[in-house]
Amino acid sequence: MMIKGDDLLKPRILLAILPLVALLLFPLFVRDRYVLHVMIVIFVYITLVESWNLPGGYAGYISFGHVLFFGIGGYSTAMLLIFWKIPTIVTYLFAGVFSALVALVFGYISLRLKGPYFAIATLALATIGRYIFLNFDVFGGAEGLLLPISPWPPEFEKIPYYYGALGIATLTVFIIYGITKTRLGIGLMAIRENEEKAEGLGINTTKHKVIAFIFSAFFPGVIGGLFASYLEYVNPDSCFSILYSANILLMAILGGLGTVTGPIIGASVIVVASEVLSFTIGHQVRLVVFGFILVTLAIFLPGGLLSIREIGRTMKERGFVLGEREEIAAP
Amino acid sequence: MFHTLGQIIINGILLGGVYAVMASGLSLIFGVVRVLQISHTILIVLGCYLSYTLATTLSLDPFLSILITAPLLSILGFALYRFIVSPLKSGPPVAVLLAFFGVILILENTAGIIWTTNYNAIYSIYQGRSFVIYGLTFSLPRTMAFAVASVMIFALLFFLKRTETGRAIRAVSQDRETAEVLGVDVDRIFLIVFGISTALAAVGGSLMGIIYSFYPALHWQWLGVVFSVIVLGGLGQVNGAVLAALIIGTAESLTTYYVGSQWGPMVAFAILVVTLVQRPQGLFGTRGARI
Repeated sequence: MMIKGDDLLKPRILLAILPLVALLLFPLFVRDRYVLHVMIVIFVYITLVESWNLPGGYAGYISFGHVLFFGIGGYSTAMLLIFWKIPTIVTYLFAGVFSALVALVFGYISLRLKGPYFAIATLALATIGRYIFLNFDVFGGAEGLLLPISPWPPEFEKIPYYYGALGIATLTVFIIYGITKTRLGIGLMAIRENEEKAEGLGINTTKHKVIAFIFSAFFPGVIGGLFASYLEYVNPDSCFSILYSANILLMAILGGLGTVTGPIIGASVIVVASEVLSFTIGHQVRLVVFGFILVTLAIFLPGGLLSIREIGRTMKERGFVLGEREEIAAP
Repeated sequence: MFHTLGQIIINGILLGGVYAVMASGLSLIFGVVRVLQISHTILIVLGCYLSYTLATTLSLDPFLSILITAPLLSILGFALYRFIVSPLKSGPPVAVLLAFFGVILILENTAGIIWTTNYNAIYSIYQGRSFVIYGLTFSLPRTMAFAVASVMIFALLFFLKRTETGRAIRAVSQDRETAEVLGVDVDRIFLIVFGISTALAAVGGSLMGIIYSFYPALHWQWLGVVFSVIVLGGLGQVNGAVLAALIIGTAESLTTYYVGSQWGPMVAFAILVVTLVQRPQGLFGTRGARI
């Protein structure tokens, strides 16, 4: 099995590098502002869903309030740019660190809860966060804050954010992928399968969960900062809309929980579908359609779109090596 | 000063009574079927809008419209059980949660398409009227809503305690396997519980629509309220939920007056988080709470 795995590695690396090169060259050929905007939104969601997936898909801790970290990142960058006037790119790092710190506190509060209770607690925490930013005057209330205007000329103004978002999304995907291959990632999957047994086997489940939660907050914080400087404004709706959390859930489950490629597929499909459907059938009808998709997926295809392929593959494998199931299960 | 405090507490208790109806259905579903029905509050919003439509088109009294909206919505409750909960019962609890999230998207946006996303209010003849007892003002619509809510809660408790079906529901809630062995049709009980719960959501919606203005996305706010009620009251306990609802209504009323109206809606969420973390078994510490 090991040798087979190594053989698979080469096309896998190619599979990761080729699209990346294509995406790097993309703005050289496509200058359309709208297309670039959609691409930025896709990168933002890839970052959000991939991060959400670490505690959500791998450890089974489904967060309904992940938008919180995105929003904290956005407001962090806004506040730093307005009051401290430090370089924009540095604020992104601070945005990530602030989100991670909040995640450390919230993780200790909420990760003691399991399953549905955790989901409800995260929803409540995100709502509390939204009220705090809405009600304190420093944050500009419902109108929010205006950020300094981008120094780039209009025809190029999307390019730096395109590469910034692409960079953050790529980094997120690779780091999360790396984490899933470490002891931490394996521990998280053990927690998902059976938390009590995992604990019995000597896995420090609390530590695992909190670390995963911190990682899953850092990247949304960074991308939240970038998106705020891209939009040039922040307000409670642009930063804490429940729609972000809904979209994250939809994309994660569509792509397949607990996979690295799932969030990329889910985010791309849903963002493009959102744009197309908003133009054709309108924003609200689109959300009704998405609701039906979510219900259907939950009932009929809990493994997401990727699982169609996997179901086919397992059946094939079983057909080839009938009676040698241990071999398949071993790695 | 004491007069003001008394007035605030009365307003809070009147509000809490309506919260109790809003949360009791959810508590029932959790206690019996053991799923968290996160789309419960969007059903309450639908209750608001159905009463609103009946009031504007047929000029039906919003309190009387409950007689139509409750049975109507309970059909939706039956459908939710048959098509979503029943097939997913044996699966991971998260699958049900995600499916209900989908239901929320469907219903919230359908309501937005039909009734727009703007604020709406049900105008009734009781609007703006009030009476005074011992110097304390009782708003007429709020007091009537509280009265209807109390009747509903007592009817529910009576039904659960004194009728054959009610006893079967309690049996399933206490020990599902044994109830099944003793010949209780658990599937039918679950279906009935979903019907009752949705009917209660319709009642809560009509009452809420009479005393407050509403819009489709308001259910997120109410989700915090009903969850804090059922968690504080002890998951699955209808009695506890009633007391918790009165506490939360009063807490919200006090916060709105003494801290600021913009913080009022946050109270329920804060109570929810603190209870989940500090006392997940709720006020009365039940065995039923599985956290």
